[in-house]
Amino acid sequence: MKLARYPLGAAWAKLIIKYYTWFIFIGIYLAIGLFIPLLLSPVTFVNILIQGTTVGLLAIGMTFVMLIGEIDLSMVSVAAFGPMIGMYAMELGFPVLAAILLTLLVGAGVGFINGLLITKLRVPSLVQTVAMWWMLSGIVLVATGGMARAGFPEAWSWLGTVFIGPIQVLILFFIIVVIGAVFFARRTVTGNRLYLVGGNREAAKAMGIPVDRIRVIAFIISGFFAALAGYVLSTRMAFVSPRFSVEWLMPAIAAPVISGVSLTGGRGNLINVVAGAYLVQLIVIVVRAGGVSGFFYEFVQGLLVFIAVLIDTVRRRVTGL
Amino acid sequence: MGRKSDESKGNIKRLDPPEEGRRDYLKTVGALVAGLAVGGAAAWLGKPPERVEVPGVTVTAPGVTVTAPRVTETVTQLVTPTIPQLKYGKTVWLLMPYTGEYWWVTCKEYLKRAVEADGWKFNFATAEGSDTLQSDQLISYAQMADILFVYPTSMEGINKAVRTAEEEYHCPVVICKDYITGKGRFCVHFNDLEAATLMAQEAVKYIQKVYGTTEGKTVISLNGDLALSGWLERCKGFRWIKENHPEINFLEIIGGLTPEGWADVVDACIGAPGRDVVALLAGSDGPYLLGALAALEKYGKLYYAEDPKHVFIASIDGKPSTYMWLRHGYNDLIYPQTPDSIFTSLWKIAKDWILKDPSYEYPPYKMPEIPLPLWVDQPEGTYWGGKELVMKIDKVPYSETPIGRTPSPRVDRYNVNTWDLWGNKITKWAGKDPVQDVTFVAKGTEPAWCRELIDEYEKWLAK
Repeated sequence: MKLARYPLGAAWAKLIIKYYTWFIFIGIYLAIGLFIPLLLSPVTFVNILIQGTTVGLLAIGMTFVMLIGEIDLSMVSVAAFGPMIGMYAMELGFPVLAAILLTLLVGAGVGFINGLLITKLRVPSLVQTVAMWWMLSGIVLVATGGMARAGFPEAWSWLGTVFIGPIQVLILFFIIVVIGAVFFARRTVTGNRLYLVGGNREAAKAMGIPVDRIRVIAFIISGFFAALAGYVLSTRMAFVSPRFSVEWLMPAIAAPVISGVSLTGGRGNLINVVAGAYLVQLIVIVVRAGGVSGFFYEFVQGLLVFIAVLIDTVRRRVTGL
Repeated sequence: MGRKSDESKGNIKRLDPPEEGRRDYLKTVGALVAGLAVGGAAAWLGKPPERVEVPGVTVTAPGVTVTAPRVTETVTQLVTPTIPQLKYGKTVWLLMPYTGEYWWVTCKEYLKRAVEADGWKFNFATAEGSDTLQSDQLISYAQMADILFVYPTSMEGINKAVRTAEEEYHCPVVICKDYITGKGRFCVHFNDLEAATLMAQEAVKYIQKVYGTTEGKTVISLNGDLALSGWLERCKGFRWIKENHPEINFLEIIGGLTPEGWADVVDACIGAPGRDVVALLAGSDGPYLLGALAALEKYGKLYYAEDPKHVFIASIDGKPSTYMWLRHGYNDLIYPQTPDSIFTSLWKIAKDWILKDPSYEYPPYKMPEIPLPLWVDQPEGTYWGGKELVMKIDKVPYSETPIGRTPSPRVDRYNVNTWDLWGNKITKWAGKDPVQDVTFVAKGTEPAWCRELIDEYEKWLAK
């Protein structure tokens, strides 16, 4: 294995290499801001912070699954299914808090089912989660009649509408969630085991780690985060619809990959994943702020993500990390 | 085995976090606090200014023909005579729900032509069917445009975003073609419900004339994504058959947003439950109808018009390809939407009542309202059935946005070569519809009028 080298031998070089995604994000933001001044306006910056919370939460959930070398493509449909269940629960008379908890539990439950089928029946995660994606999308389509369903009460939407001083509560909430996720991944036994199982499943088994249980837990976490992302999005949008959050699947995969999360498992830094999510959101905003015509939109977005992935690949080759 | 270096990101490091782990956490927390401080400062600076309400302003617009009493507001304070500059340099953004088919591209083109003819900058974005994406686009583009035109992804999904765009970013939002239940400046759309109901009634008349009875006859209703109000209203119009003729075997199928989706569902339907189809009502045509014609041909059910076994086909949109298929004798009736007049009138009304005074972009940010009811003539250079037909924009019970419904002209083989129809005229400046020259193998004898109509069209096109 190539050892990392620090030609300058400075702690700051280590910081840059360790949190390179943040530096790329800030660097790109400032560089493009020179050409598109709108990007540097406080309003645009706040929009990036707020709109990036959805892809951030999805990316964090996806990372937990990627850490064990799997993938969860059902996350966007869980993001629609969860809040839809919450909405119907409130219509049935559930208190708002109970409906929110139910939304999150439903997400975790879907993740549990995914995990169980993947570990016990040995269904590949790609296949299982695509099937779950279709099923849940279909259920949402039938239940909503194909239409956007609005009418969440104020108590449900407080996260997306309330400010504490100048800061929207949503941003504070996201920061707290990130801290919690990082703590879980780095400081708990289960979190550490996710890395071990992803790094070398056989070795982890030989060490007595319950590999299947850890894999199920990873999917429970991704389901939970998908439902949380859906809840957060519904507080901003004030509706849920059949195509809710569908455009965020590829960004939710791209963000961890850009941040250095290994698709084969065992490696990933959640703090960088947050930066990766914001980098992807920044790309979306840059394309809009740059006035890119509708037909070139997806091409330009994809090209910028490709460039970001290329930068990460070069970085890993140079540093060996 | 060599020890892994401290810089290694191997798994073993995770088992036993050293002192470095604690430092990492302190750095993490420190970075987050710094980020919070920066974010808070940015949020403080970026929070939209407070709205200040001032009494209303009288707005007059010369040149608009009105045949009904107009609503006026009591003037209690006059705006200063100086008209401020448009903040974004006369910039229009059109937000489309989808652009993957001729119809959507045509709509964009008509608005683009109208906007650019008046020296404004035109841009567009597409949401590819996603409400959440279109909502975010509304928020983003409201900060870059003097006015937004939105062809909504659904009736309810973008209500909040439209409100935010207008109230927080002071950008007027005009709703195009399909309505929303929430509040925009105004909306112009095709009279989908009326057209679809008329189509359904004509289908029943056709069946009664040819078969002498409607008992047990199969009619297929081919629809798009019902989240969009246009397709939903058409679906409801077709259901007139189910409600008034329960003896008819009425099959309602949903093709979704894409032409390929339509092709798949109609093929499956005609192949099995709809194999005895005698009439087909399509909520859109052109590439959306192509799959139905291909399916009829595949199952040996495509007969020329006037043949006893001909399947009656009626559709909405009126694309060049569909007119061509009508000339070939494959289909019978078209109720063309009129994107030329819809989008031209949207721009004209916006120009006359909203954009002429951009004081809405400055404090006190009073968003202009169009007077109601507003009577609109057929815009110059467009055709919605004749100059004598007018459209009324007024309040409606199902939406907070004032809505106008354009007239529904009717096209069959007797008037398909009316050159003012958008589906004919557009081929002169935009070229042929990509599927216009697609033909099918129909059974029976091609009527003589087919060749006459085709020759007449080709002579006109060549001029």
